[in-house]
Amino acid sequence: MDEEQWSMFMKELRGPGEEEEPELRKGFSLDLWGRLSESGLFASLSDMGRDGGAGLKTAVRRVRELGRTSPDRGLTFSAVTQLASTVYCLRGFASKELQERYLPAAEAGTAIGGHAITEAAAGSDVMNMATTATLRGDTYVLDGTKRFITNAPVASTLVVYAKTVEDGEEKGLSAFLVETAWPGVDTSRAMPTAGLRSSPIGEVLLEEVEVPTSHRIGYSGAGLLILDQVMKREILLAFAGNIGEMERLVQRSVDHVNEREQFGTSIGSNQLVANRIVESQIAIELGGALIESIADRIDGFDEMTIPIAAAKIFISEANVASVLNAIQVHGGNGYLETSPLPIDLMDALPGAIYSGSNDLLRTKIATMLGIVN
Amino acid sequence: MSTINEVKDYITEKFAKDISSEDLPSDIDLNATGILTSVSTVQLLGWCGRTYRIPINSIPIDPDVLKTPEGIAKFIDSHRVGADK
Repeated sequence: MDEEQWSMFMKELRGPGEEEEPELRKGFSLDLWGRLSESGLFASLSDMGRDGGAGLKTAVRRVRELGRTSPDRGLTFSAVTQLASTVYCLRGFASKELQERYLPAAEAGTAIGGHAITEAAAGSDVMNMATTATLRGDTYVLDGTKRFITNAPVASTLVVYAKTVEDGEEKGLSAFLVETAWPGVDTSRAMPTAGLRSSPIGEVLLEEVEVPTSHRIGYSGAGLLILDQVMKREILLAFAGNIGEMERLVQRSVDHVNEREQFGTSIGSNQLVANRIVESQIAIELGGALIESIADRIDGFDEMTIPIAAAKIFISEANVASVLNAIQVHGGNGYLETSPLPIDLMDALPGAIYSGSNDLLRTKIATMLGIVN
Repeated sequence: MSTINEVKDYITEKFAKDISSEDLPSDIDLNATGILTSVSTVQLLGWCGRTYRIPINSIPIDPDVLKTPEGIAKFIDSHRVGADK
């Protein structure tokens, strides 16, 4: 990956002034995506290989920097989805044939990807999904409806998870690389959200979609194991981005409390005000250390479910708290429609929901600790 | 102790406490009998990684090999550090 290209893009991103942010964050910008792609971010896993490597750590560092530099949290979220759902998944589990056919465009960012997991009756309860992949000859036929699929309205490929049936036997979940232009795939139904508006989210309808067996990713029935690993990377990357976003808020808040004067002095000199920023910084240090520790260990021999769930819960909740602190120190100005802070709040809230809801993750930690339920 | 016996010991100690490891058949379907669930499979893989130094987060795993104690033992023996691939 070209370090210079990345640095140039970061410099470019520092451009837009605060007053432009709300406008910038109303919808997905293909132009910005294109420039992010040219920076080489999506190719940062290229030296990952099957046995890990520096690629993931580079990606984590860059996504954190993106979160710190870009005012557009939706762009960061969509970028993380591309990296985890498509680039990592293909690199880690797909056949050489699939990698050769789809990775170049995914890593160049010219083909936008996502993964189709969630359904109306199967959110956290992923094993309850109704989408099926039935083997007929040398093709799987996919049927079902997915919801809340990040990038779906702009995606050209999706990794679809479906219950697999082969010779009348249920094989569990499998993962399939599906092109959105294929007959029977409909990604036209967007689901406008209250936050992360620049990250397009929508439904994916699959009706008798014929998928060649060569497009199955990994072993038949290995979907849950693949999804487990993909989600671990998605969480690592997404919440590295959150740490960067919190750093951005702290810097904004420091600038504000030093500049704003009340009672003849800067409001930051009031320790109650300063402490709100300090609390956010403490969370940045702790969350950042957790992310780095996980990135160091994830390709080793340890089972990482508990550390990753703990990091996700801690950072997502700290992220919301840091926005609330930032709004508080900005006073009425932070609550204006023209302020980016209310948008930051709506962007931060779903962190407790996506990639596994925090309530469910707490339950999972309890179960893994051996607490009988 | 052979790998298969270590696998049976772990499974009966953690997930099937009412069965002795000697009574657990090597070819029992752990999924069909409900001994292994999605969460306990993750725990089992974690144990495999820690105990036998298998990079469980970085290798594609065929779920069929995790269905039975003998399959799990074969998986361990083929992936543990120093195993011939």
